[in-house]
Amino acid sequence: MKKITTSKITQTAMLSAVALVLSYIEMSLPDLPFVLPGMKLGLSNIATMFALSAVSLPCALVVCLVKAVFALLMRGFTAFLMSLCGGVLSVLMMYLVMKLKSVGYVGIGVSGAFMHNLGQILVAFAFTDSTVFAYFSVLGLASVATGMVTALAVYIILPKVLAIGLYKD
Amino acid sequence: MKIVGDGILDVPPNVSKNLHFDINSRDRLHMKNRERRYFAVCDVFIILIAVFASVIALVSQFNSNADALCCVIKVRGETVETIELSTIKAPVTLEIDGEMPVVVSVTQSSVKVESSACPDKLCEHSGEITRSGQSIVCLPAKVSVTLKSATQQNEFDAVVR
Repeated sequence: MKKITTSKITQTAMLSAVALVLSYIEMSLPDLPFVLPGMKLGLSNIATMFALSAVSLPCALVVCLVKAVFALLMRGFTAFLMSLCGGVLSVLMMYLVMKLKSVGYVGIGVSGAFMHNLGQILVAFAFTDSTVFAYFSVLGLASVATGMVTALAVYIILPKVLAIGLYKD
Repeated sequence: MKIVGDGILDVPPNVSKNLHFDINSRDRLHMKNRERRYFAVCDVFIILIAVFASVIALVSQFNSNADALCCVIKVRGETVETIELSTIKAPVTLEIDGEMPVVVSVTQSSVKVESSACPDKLCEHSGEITRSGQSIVCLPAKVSVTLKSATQQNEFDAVVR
C-alpha cells in the first residue's frame, strides 16, 4: 500500500472537479439529431483517463466515484449505478491496456469508452431485459469515435501539464 | 526525482531533470513514456475488437428476436389473448368471440385462422403467419391476430429486418 500524500489527495480532488465540470458541460450540450438518447461524448472520461495516466489507479477510481455521486444527485439512483459501473469497468480496462507497451492513446481511450458503455448496458440489462444489447451495438461503435476524442484530448493535455510540473510528488 | 508518482507514465529520473522549464519536452517525454504514441498498431486491434463485439451484439439480438414471437389477438382493438409461441408445447386452438366466432390455431412457430363464421373467409385464406410484424385480420368479425417480437415492445426492428 502506497502512502496517501496531501499532494495526491489534492490532485484527485482537482481532477474530480474537472470531471464534474466536464459532465455538466456535456449535460447542457444540445441533443444532436442523429444521436440516440444516452449516446454521449464522454467528456468526463478525459478526466478519468488523465487521472489514470498522470496520478494513479486509486485516484482514477475515486474520480469515478465522485462522478457517480454527482450523477446520483443530478439524475437519480439508476444513473448512479450506471455511472459507477461504467466508470470502474472503464478505468480497470484502461489500466490493463496501459500495461501494454505497444498501445497508443487511441487504444487506451477506445477500450475505456467501450467498457464504459458495456458497464452501463450491463446495469440497464439488470433493470430491463436483453433488448438493451441491441442498443449496445450502436453505443459500442460510437465508443470508437468518442474514445478517439478522449485519447486526443489526453494526448494533447497530458505532456503539457506534466511539463509544468503540476503532477510531481 | 519522480514526476508522476506511481502512475503508469513514470518518467525515468534522467528525463525529469530539465522538465520544469522545457516547454517542448512533449516529444521527449512521450519517447520516454514507453514510447507511447497517439496511434499505435495495437490500437487497430482494440478498435477491431470493439467493432466486432458491437456487431456480435447486434446479430445475436436479431437472432433472439426471430425466435421469441408473441401472438396478440385483439377484438375490436382490445387485446383479448396474448400467447408467447415458445411457451406452448402442442398446437393450441382458440375460439375467439368476435362479432362472429373465429377459430385461431397457434403452434410453436406459426399462427393461422382455422375457420371463421365470416362471409368472405379472407382471414382463412391468409394462411399461416410466422414472422414478427405479420398479421391476419378478419374484418367482419373485428378480430385481428398479430405476431410480435416477445422481447421488444416497439416494432422498429421488425421493420428494418
